[in-house]
Parts: sequence; C-alpha cells; structure tokens
Amino acid sequence: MSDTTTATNDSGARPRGRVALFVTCLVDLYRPEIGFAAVQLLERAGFVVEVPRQGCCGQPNFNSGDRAGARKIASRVIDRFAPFDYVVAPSGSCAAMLRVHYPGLFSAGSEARRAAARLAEKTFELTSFLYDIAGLREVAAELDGVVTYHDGCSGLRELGVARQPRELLKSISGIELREMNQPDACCGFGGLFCMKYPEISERITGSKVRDILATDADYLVAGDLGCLLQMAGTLERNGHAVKAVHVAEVLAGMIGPDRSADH
Amino acid sequence: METTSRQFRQLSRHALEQATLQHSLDGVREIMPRIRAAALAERGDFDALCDRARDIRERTLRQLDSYLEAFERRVQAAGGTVHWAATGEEACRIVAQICRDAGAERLIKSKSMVTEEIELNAALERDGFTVTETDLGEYIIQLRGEKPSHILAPSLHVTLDEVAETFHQHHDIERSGPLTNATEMLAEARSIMRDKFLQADVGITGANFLVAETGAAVIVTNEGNADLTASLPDTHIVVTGIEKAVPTLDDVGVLLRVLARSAIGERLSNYTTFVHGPRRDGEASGPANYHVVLVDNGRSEMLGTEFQDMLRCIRCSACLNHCPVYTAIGGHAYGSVYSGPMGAVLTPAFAGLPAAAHLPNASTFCGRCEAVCPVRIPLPSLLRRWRQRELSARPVMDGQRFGLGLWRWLNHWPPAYSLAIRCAARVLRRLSVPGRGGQRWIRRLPLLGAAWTDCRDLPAPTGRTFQDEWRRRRS
Amino acid sequence: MAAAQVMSSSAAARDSILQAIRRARAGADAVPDAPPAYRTPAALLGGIEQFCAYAGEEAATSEHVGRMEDVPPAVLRYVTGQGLAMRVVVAADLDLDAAVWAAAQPLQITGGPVKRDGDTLVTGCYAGVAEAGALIMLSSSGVPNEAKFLAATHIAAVRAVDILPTFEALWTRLRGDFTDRWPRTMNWIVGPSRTADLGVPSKLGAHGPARVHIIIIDA
Repeated sequence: MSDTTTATNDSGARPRGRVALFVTCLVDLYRPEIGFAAVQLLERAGFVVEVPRQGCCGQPNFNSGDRAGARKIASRVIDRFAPFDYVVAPSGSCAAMLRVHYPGLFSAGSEARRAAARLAEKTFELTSFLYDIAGLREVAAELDGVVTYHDGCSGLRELGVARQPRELLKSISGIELREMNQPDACCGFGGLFCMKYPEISERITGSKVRDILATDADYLVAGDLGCLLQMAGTLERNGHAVKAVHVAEVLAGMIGPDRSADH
Repeated sequence: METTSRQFRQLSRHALEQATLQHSLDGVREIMPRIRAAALAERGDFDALCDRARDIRERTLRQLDSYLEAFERRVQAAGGTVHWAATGEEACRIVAQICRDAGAERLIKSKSMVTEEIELNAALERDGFTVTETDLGEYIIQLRGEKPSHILAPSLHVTLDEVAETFHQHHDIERSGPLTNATEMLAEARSIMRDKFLQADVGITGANFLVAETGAAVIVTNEGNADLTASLPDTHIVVTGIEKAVPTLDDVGVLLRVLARSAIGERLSNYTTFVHGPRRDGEASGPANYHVVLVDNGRSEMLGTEFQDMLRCIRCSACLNHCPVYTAIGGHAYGSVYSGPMGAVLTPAFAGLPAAAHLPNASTFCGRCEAVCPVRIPLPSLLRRWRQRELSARPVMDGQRFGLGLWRWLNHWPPAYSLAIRCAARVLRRLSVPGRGGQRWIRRLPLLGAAWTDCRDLPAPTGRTFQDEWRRRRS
Repeated sequence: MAAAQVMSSSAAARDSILQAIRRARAGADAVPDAPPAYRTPAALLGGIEQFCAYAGEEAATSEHVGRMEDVPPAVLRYVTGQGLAMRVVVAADLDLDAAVWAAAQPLQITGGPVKRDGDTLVTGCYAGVAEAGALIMLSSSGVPNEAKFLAATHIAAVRAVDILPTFEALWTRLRGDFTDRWPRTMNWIVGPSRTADLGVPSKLGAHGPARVHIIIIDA
C-alpha cells in the first residue's frame, strides 16, 4: 500500500475496522472539508480511515451509455479498494454506483463480477454507514438554526438513505429540522443533464428552490455535492441567503455562524 | 410512428415559456403525488400487489402467443371477429374496411392511445368518415386540432377559457349567454355528445386489458363514454396493442387494483366494462357486429430484447405525474403521443432512435418513475440502454465520445487525474469573485461552461484538492 | 383495399406476429407456474359498511330497506327528495310486479327505453363489491345496456347478500354462474360519471348519470 497514508483512530483503542474513504471527484475538486468531515466522523466512530489514490467512480461514463469506459474505470476502483473492510463515500450517487451498478458491468459468472460484488457489499454512503453499520445515534455537534434536508435521488432510491441522515441531524444540539414540501423531489442536477438541457434543469431547480425557501431554513443540507452545487448556485443567482452545506460538515460540527463556508 | 421529437429542444423551450401550461403542470407536480400516496396508505398491501402485477405481466409476455390465441378463440365463440395487424397502416385499413362493410358514415371513439399512435382518425377522415372523440379531453383537442399532452388527461394544456372559446367556435347551438363556468360547459358537451352517441354508425374503443380466460376486452373510463360508444352503435370495434393480454380474471383484478390508484389516487375508476362479444339472440340491444383489432406495430420486436420490460406498461401515467422533466415541460415537448418516462423509452422503439434520441437523454435519472411504476418497469435502466445505443452510433470524434474517452484515460493514470483535478481547482478558483458571507463565486464560464453559468452561479472550489491536502497533512 | 385483401393481410399478420413472439421466447427460461389467487389481508376486508362508505366517497348515496317490496316507496322518496320528474324507467332485471309498484304512486312507471336526458332509471344489480364500492351489473336480454349510461339518474337495488368483499369473491361467483357463455357485458359502476378535464375537483355527469343511488335490500 505504498501510495496510501494511514491514521490511527482517535482514542487509541482497537479500531472497529479499516475504512477506505471514497472521496468522490466533486469533493476532491471542490470541498476537501467535506472529506475531512467524513474522516473525522468515521474516526470518532472507532474506525481507521485510509485514502487510497483514487479517481472517479465512473458515473459520467455509465450514465452516458459508455459501459465499456465505466467498466474500465470500475476495474481500477475495485482493485484499489479491495483490501479494505469498508468503503465509505460522502455521496449517495457514488456509493450507489459502486454498490448497485458495478457488478452488472461485468459478465455473469466472471471473477471480475465476483470481485465487484465483494466491493459492492462493503460499500456505503456515509450517513448510512454511521447509522446502520457503526450504530451511531448521536453526534457531538452544535448548530443553532433551522435546517432542511434534501434527499439525493440515488441515495434515497438506490440505497434507501432517508431516515439515517435525519436521525443524526436531529441529535445535534440546538438544531431544528424542518421538512420541505416533497424533499425527495429531484434538484435538477442529474449529472450532465444540467449542462445538456440547462433550461429544463433550471425550471426543475426553480421548483426545488421555492420549496426550500418556504421552510425559511437557514441551511439546506444534502448528502451529495452535485445536488448542493446545483441548488447553491441557483439560490445565489436569485439572491437568496440560505446556505447550502453537506451533511458530513454539519454532523462533524464544522458549520456554524462563526465559521466561514470557504477557507 | 410519426413524431416531432427531433425538435425537443425548441419544443421544450416553448413549453417553459407558456404560463398557463406551467400553471397546469404545477398542479400535476403538487397534487398527483399526494393523492397517490394517500390511496396507497389506505391499502397496506400495495407493494405486494405491485410485485404480483409485475409477475402477471412478466408471465404474460413470455407466453403472449398462447394468451392471444385463447382470447381469440373466446371472442370468435361469442360471435365476434378478431383481426391481426402487423403495422399501424394495416390496422387503419382493417378498421376502414369494417366501417365500409357496415355502410357507416359517422364514427365515434373513446380514448385509446394505440389509435393515437397509429393516427387512426386521420386515416379514417381521409377515407371520408366523420370521427368524433367522446372522451371530453380528446374531444376538446380534436376540435382544436391539437395532440394529447398527457396519456390520461389529453387536454391538460388547455385552460377553461380556451375550452369556452373552442365551444363557442365549433358548437352551432343557441345559448342564453356566453359559457362562463365548467358546469355550463359540461352540460353543453353532454348534450352535443348525446346526439353523436345516438346517431353514430360505428363505435371504436381501445381496451385496457384483454382477458384470455373469458375473452373479455376490459375498458376503463370515468365518464362512461366508452360504454355508450360500445353499446349504442350497431358495430363496435376494439383497437388494442397485443401486449394488453392478461391470463385470468384474478390477474385483471390485481391489475385493476393498482391501475386507478397509480393513475389518479382512486380505488377504481368510475366505469370498468368487460365486453365479450356482439348482441345475442333475444337481447334487447347491443352491437350486432363486434370486432377486435390486435395491433403489433413494433411490440413483438421488443420481446426477447433488453426492452421487453417496457411492454409490461399498463398506461397508468404515474411516471409522467412524478417526473421532474415531464412536470417542467409537459407532453407536447416530447413530440410524441407517448410522453414522460414511458414515452422516452417507447418512442425510440416505435419511431426509431435517430428521430427520438433527445428523449432518453433528457432525464436526470432521479428514479421516481421506477419507484412509482405499479408493474416495476426499470425505466432509468431502459433509458440508459437507449443512451448506450445512441452513443455507439455516434462518430468516434464526436465531442461527447471524446470527452468520455478522455475522462476514462485520466482515471487510468492517477498522476494524470490528480494533475487534471488540481488544475481545474486552481483555474476555477482564479475565475471566482468574492460574494456574500466570505464565499467566492464564479458568475461566468466560457465555452461549454456557459451552459452552467447562463442560469446559475457556481460556488468556487477552495483551490486545493482533498487528496493533495490529505497527503500534505499526513506527511 | 378490397375486403378480401384486408382479410388475408390479417391472416398473414397473425402468422408473422405469432411467429415473432415464439422466436423471441426461444431459449428463454421456462415460465414458472402461476401462484394461487391473491388473498387480500384480513385487515382490509370489509362488508356492507365498507361498500356504502366507499361508494359514498364517490358521490353515490345509499340506504337500507327491509324487503324487495320496500323498494318502490324508497324510489318514490328519493325522486321526490331530489326534486326529479315523477316518472321512472324500470329495467326488466328488477323482479317486481306492477302491483308492488302501485305503492309508489303517484310515480309513473314505464318499461323504457331511456329516451330523454333527465330520465331516471331503476335497475336491479348482480352484485356489489365492497373493496371499491362498486355495483356489478350484467347485460341481459331484458335490459338495454346503454340505458345505464343514458339516464341522468341511476337507482340500483342490490340485495345485501350479494355484496361481496373483494374482486376474488366476485370471480368465484361469476365462475359458478357462468362457464362457457359469459354475459355480453359486465359493467362495474362506482358512483356517478365525472370528468377532470374541465378542472379539479371533478365535475359530475360527464356522459353517464350525474346521480347514483343504491338501495340495499337487507332481507
């Protein structure tokens, strides 16, 4: 493992397992603090976190119909992440790519498919891992404000992520979780869709923004950075003050009025 | 099938600008999911019913030939005639011939998507017949010369004022004053339509299901117009796709339970009619002639392919009602009689992928369609399959193919990937300007990036990548 | 295209379609056996109360009477209560003597046909299904089928014992009564006809009846 770096967990106690963080290209490119928030949460939950050298999960290729390209990318990911007990991603769509779609990229009965299935079984979205696997029920964070949670489509429909982030958010001292109308309605991002059909995307996001504003929330929280960029960009363009933040940052206590969102 | 789906971009832009259409679509987006959810909540076994419905449709498609043959035998034994049409044109010719044999001039129709698909009305009118739609929504768009914009609510895009205007224009009757409300309009439509029902020579309906066990064509409406269409004229013609076959009455009961709940949040539509054949000796009324036209028009070609699951569709429209794209642009933008997610899968199959390529591409893959489909069609996967076919048909140097190839290559070489991401982070950071609360934003991107910044800002990245920062902190 | 050509194209199409279906199936797995009939969970099963409640939600009204002979007075009450014309068409499937209808005077009784929009039709009923609040009516020699849809008001008399809990119970009864020759039509009717094409909430009286009243005979 010459190109990974490791860390021991906080308390020095025997770790509950080795988690490889699948950081996702958007977090890698955009908001390292989301990755660090995820690491912190996982370490506090008693796991050792490692970050193998990594790239994209292959969703852009897969969703565009480039199965061959997606397969090649997947093979690299499977090799790099195979040695770990768990693979955790701060993204419903990337976790779903590995967990739900990787095995089908390979021929039935092949060793490659079996390897993909093994990886799939141990891959989780972050809040689902913390709640369902690590058994976490509360986080040591404070946030005085109203938050509203957006269900990323892949996380919700492909991985069943819905209750877990909400329960963890509710455990934050001072927080009020207010549901928007149809929190599971699509935000309009859809990967390349927002660039290929921008006017339709804008209209979909417009409906979403109306629902967000109607909650009068201080923060919009979601588990996928793609959704957050789409909604944040639209809120800003239309002059709204709601701050769009990732659920990992909120749970790790990195969000608050005295913390700048950009450092 | 004729479509204008090539013009999807223009059609959808146009749709986004129409205030009255957007108002109707807002209603669909807000109300339909709510009423469906309420109907499901009452019926705690809805999931089990959908699993059963999926299995019924699966089993039927795998033995479609024997169920169609059994259905045919029953209809013939009851005194009806079954016709088979490989194409839409053949089906139109068969219907026209039946009408000629009946010496018919005036035809009435109840709503049938397959007759829209094969453009039956146009063919019959070319042959000199008068055709009147009896479903109120279909009647309204017929008067206006428009196509349906929703598979269950074809006149969704027409406002009440526009209905009044249309009736004023086309109904040659005495009124005490102008039409001002829905009740008056309904009363007028009802009385105009009554005359048509009573004077018609031939009634043409679709069928929601064909029950092999008894030979029943099952027709579902809320207005009762299909029943009048099927019982008043002397000839009744059922035009239906071959995939509508259902093995038994038990099976159709399960499907009926999920159909109205998925479509309109009701336990059952107001009228569910089972028609077995023509009038019998001693019967007081009913058509003397009963015909069923089984239409293939590309359906059998889908069997045995990766698109077979689409044939499970029972035309409930739940996928339309829950789709973020459909509820943003409405049905006309798809340029096809089948719109929404089901239309995005079916239209390329019936009209060819080159004509309809936009439709499977214009999806966020949010997956709501699959989640609400009562027969569990994996719609996003099918859309992805169309994208796969479309991509491989593009030239190698096509922009999208090139971009995807480049991305694949970058992911193969970690140093190249890291370099690319690092550069992108820095470039984007440089393009940003300070904004509110210490956050930096990119207001304008050049070239391809303009597709983002034309309608939204882009938060600026921090400028350092996670992997670089991780390695830095840990060393 | 000549009639003969059309007929032979149908035969040719039949062959090609069936062959295409069979080809598509070649090599696929065997089809599993059909499972037993669906069983509605006990908690969802209902009887006459459920039937009336669900029909009521769809704007049908209902009442109970003791015996078949009480139907004519009930019809009279309904017609006067609704302010309808004092004249009803009685379908032949409602098995009541003219003498019994005398109890409904001054209501004029005719055997039809339903001609004018505005007519009230009184019929019997094969069954009711509680799970949907649906009336189940079969075509028969004495009853013009279209009457049910031409009348502006439909009053249906159904016996309490004929109100079944589920569709499955209905299939069992139908299969018992019919094996080879199914009735020409079977109509399931839930409340008055309506349309949402002129806005929501739906407007009643689209093409079929605008009023449906159900008289349940307890005996």
